Amino acid sequence: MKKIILAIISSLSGLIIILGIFLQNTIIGQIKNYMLEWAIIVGSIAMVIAIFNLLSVHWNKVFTDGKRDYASPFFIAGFVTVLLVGLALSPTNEFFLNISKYTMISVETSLMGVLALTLSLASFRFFRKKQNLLAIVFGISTVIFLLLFSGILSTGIESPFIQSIFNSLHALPIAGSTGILLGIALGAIVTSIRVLLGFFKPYDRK
Amino acid sequence: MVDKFICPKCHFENEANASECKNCGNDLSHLVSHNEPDPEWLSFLRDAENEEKSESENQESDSLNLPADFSEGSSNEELNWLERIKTNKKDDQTELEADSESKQGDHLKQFDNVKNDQENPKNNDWLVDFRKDSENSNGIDQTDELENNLNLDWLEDSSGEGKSEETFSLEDLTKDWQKEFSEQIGIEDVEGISPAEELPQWLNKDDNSPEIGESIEKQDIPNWLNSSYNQVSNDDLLDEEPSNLPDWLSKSDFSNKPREEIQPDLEDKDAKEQGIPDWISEINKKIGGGDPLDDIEKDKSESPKGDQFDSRLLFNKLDLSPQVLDDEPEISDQPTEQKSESSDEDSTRGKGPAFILKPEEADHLPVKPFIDFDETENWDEEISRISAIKADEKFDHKEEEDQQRATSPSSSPPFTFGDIPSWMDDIDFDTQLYEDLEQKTEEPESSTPIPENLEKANLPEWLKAIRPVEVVTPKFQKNTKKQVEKSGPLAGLQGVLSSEGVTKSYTKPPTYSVSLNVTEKQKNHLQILEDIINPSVVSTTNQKKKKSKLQSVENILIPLFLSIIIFVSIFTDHSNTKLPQTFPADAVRFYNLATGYLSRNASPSHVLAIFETDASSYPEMNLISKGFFESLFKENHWITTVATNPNGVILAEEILSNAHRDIPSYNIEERVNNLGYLPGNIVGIQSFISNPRILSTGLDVKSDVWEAQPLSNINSFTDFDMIVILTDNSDQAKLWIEQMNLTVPESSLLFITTAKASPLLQPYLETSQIDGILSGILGGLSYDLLSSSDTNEIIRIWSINQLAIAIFILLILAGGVISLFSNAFSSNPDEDKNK
Repeated sequence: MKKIILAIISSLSGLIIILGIFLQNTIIGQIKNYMLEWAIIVGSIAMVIAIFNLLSVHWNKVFTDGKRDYASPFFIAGFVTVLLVGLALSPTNEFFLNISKYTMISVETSLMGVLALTLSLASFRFFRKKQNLLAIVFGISTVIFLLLFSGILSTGIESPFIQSIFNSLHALPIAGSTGILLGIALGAIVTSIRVLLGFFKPYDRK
Repeated sequence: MVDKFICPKCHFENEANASECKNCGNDLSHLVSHNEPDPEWLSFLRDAENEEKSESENQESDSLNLPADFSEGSSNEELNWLERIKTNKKDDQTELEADSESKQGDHLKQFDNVKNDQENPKNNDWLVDFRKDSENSNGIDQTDELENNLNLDWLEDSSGEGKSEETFSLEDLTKDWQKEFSEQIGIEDVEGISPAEELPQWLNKDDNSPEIGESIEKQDIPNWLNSSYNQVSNDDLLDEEPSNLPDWLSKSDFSNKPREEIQPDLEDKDAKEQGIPDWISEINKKIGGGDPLDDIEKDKSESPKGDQFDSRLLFNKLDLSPQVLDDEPEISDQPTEQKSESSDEDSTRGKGPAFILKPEEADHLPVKPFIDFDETENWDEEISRISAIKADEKFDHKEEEDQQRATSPSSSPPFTFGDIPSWMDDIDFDTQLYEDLEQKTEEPESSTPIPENLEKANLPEWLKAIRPVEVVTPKFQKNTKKQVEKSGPLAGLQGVLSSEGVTKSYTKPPTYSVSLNVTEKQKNHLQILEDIINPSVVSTTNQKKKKSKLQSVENILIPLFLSIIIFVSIFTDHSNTKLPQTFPADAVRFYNLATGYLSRNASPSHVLAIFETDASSYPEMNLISKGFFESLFKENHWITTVATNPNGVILAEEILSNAHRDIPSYNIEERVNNLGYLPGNIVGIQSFISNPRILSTGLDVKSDVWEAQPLSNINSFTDFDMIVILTDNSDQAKLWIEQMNLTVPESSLLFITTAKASPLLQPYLETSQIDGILSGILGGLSYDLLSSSDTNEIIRIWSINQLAIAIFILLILAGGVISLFSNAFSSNPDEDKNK
């Protein structure tokens, strides 16, 4: 009975949102806006809960035997510091913004640098792992598109034939990505229909 | 018919019509009235029953196809040994009873009445009556009318023709009776009473006292031997009590014949007490010694009353043994001359005792065997003589039978093979049960004769083997004491619930030798399974060692090589870097749209910058968008930022701050409004597009950004002149595209993306869902070159980027070439694969 009620609620919500999108100036559009606001509020609360859940996880890793993690103390220290500074100085404070900004940018860009080094190593071992046709095609295409998007080939080449080849090569990623997007769109439509009809219940984790 | 009457008082032979004894003057009128001899030696048997016997019992005795004497005598003969046999055999023969009940014949039904007689406790007082009769020789006066009907008429009516056939059938039946008897003895032995152990060997023989046969032959032939009498009796029995046959007798084929044979034996004994006839005295003379029965009688008279029970047992064993009864119908008139022709084996066998107990065995016996005979002297010799005489008599009977068969071919014998009841035909004598019994009976015959003076002997094998329960049951049951049931329908019975002991005892389970046949296919499967479960650890470790050495070198050298090149390029002068001659079309389009949207209004436009990027993409995004924001700052446009990514808020501040460094004249604090984080992902996007004022209130919680300039003029999403989405995530960009095209398709939408997010957004650009896109460093450089912005920084980064791309291409090619040659020169391709 509970599942049926949940399915009815989800289906009605989906239908109201869809109708509200197409009928924005009607009462259904207003209902849709209210429902979206409720969802945003719930999502915000869920984010707060997720933050505290993350804190508790690292707290347990620090103070529970067998789950010791040396990164957890740093996380707890950083979380408490940023939280206290943000509450004390407000989010628009320069000091608060600099703390958050330089911390995140430095850390994340460092990760990107490590990723670049890892990719260099992977590129060296690429043909060692795979020697089949697919690997060869993948390797060749990687090399071509690196050259193409790096702009190296755009310097000093004025031949119309080569330009046409470059344009053809540029069209290849568009074709591939178009196919991917179409697949994603079809999947999203089917999932939406299933949710509306009650066949798919993302809210039911059992 | 009887020609003469013997006076019960003086044993003088009188004429048949004599009213009184010529010798002593005793009144014989009651005998004469019935025209039947009524010897006194039978009176004691009747006296035991006279007081208690009812008419129904008389009818039963008639219906039993037995002589009345036997009917009465049966009650006397039903001694304790037989009762014990019955009670002990009841439980053991339950299965056989079920079969025998359906097959039982008319003869066996007669024993039902016998059992009823046995149940009468007064029947056990026969010895008391016996003594009274012996003391009062004239006790025959106490006989009533029933006794007169039950006297020796059956001896008179017996004919010589039927005798031969009946003798033949009785021999076979007697063998069966012996089997059953021995089995019963075995049961008694189990109880500890062990009358079978007390049974002398002469009783197991087919010996009979010739006196008995001769006396019976001469005096009377019972009516029941006649076929007509037999039929009538059987019919009566069936009509009256068809189902009264006791269970314990249903299987055993006693029939009435052994009982019939018992009665003459008793009569003979009584005759000794009352007055021994002449023919008996003649036999005694031939034997050459005193009559053993006289000795027994003496012992009985001398023994105290407390030994009366044992004496009675002895008496039963002597006179009621199946061997004696077996010869009873074989009444023969043959002279005793042929007795000397009997085999030596029989004679020697009859002389020696059946067995002699060891002292140890005798001590273990609960009842001392042959109590009365132990106290007498030469009792065994006397018994052996009797048995020898009986053996001779039996031999004579056989010869007589042959002669009678030859002389009377037209006779109608009362008992033939055809007259044998159906239940006897169905008896399987070849079963294990009877095999054991036959062995028991045959073993004493095959054994060597025992010397006369040997007092002690080993327990015979047949007696040892006569204990079926101990033989069959396992050893642990031998030691277990049989439990006497105290309650329930089995109360008083011992060892009837034998399964209880079995369940309580624990034995070691049997072991079985099982051989498993494994096929080659199964062996192969087993090997595969073992390889899966236990892979070769040694080879893997070696490979790992080799692999770790190569990988450690590669892991250090290649990143180090890349880092060195990039680090050197940072400090290298890139002023001479060759710029691209052709700009990407997307970048050109983006530049044109951006300048067009911003220049269509005379007043500064409202630009909404949506940051959907992570901090990791900050360097790239900063390079690409720096020129764009500098253009905005130059034109003094209003900028409003919002982010659906928490990092986007900070990145927005940082990117705008970097652009503001080059255009310090732009009042960033006034012209730029940061709406902060937009929660709810796609829902937040939908809600923000629907009504931006409700959802986002800005970072400053103290003031409402929507009330201040420039957002006070913005009431809907379409009020923004240009919408620019800065993203490194194509999925988030897709969400914005979908929602905006659905809700505000007329709005101008531009994208500034990283190189990795550009390919997935190209289809939207091709389908005009987005107006323009500026992607990658090349796009940023193109925009900067088109907008005449400062390009020093982006050119330097672009040069380093080109160098890094070249290094990556080189590494891929180098790795491919190395793997190609390594595979060519490697002897183990698998190892190279792992490398």
